[in-house]
Amino acid sequence: MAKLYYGGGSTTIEGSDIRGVEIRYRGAIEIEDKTSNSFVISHQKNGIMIFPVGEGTLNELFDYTGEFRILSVIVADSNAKRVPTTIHRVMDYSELLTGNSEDMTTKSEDLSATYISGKKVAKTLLKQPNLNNQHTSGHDGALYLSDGNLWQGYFHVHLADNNAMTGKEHTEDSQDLYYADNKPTKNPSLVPYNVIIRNRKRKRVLRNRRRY
Amino acid sequence: MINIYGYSIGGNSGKFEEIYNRDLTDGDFSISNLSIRTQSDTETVTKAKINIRQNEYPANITTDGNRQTLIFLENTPVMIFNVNKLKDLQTRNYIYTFILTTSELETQYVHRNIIYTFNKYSNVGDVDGNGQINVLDVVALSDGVISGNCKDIEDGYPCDLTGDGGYNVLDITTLANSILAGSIKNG
Repeated sequence: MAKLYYGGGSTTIEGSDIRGVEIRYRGAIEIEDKTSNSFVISHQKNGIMIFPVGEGTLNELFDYTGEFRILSVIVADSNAKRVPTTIHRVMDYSELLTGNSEDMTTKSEDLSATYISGKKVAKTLLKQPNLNNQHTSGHDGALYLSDGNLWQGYFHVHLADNNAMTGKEHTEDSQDLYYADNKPTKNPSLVPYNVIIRNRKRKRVLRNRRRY
Repeated sequence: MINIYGYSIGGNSGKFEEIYNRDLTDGDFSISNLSIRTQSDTETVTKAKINIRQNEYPANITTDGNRQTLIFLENTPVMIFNVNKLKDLQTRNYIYTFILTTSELETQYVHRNIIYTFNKYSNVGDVDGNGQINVLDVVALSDGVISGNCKDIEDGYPCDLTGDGGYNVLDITTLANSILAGSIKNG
């Protein structure tokens, strides 16, 4: 059993052996990663995922500013099994000041306080938008430069579109990296290449079958 | 004349003469809960049987106006084949013969060609193979990448999101982002 706490600009999880968290939410926030280097926070649409790229477990997740209302959460342990989790919204004093005193006997989620911490933001963004300090020596798979030469060295990954680029961190000199056959790692559609390949194969099989 | 306008097998339904069973991973495949829907303004089906491998199995018939549902094999699953011997996306073609006796005491033999297409492996991204794709799969994939165990998974298909033949951090971020964006489907 785990407990996810949020409110007052921070999000934490209480439980043992927590390795991954998937949050669906309403609102828009600026996210500051508070996890260790073994974890990554990514967001797309109305979802936030905290997932491992190294050893360790989760406790502090992220700080945020903006409007944030968690709708649901899925939590995974080190065995990749789902951990039953309850969501707890923590009210800070300034939020209570905007509510009515008679509301104090009601549930916290029914209070008239807003779900805003700090200033409102227009859209969700990550303060740490890249996964840095990756190296091809520990990478199972080949990455290439645009000229087709094999890249060996540090790279980083832009979480927004999975774009791998040269360098420990992003600089003006960073270059896009490619898979074999000059296929870009940058994939704004976020449909995995292997899903596309498989769908094509399936369509071809079915088309041939219908023709037959 | 009895018109067959639809059918379903084990919850999969269709209008056409094809039906696709997905995510059959191993073992013997049985058909059960096979039903066909018929329609006629002039006569009704009073008795129906299906012939499979020279055995006949009767149907339960329900009538709603000029439409009828003939339910076969509700409690009699029939083993058809072992999917272990099939390759991914390989198809098997079966012709089922339905023997319908009508209220006009006529016997109609109706043949239906049903094609099964097999998805032997779990869907891409469904690392734990439970039919759902979420953060549990990302953690399983991440643990597999960190420990180097992804190659132990048969074919490695669910884990290789990027299709580059390796299992690495790009597969992890790709899976996480595609789940959040809804660009990878469950099941």
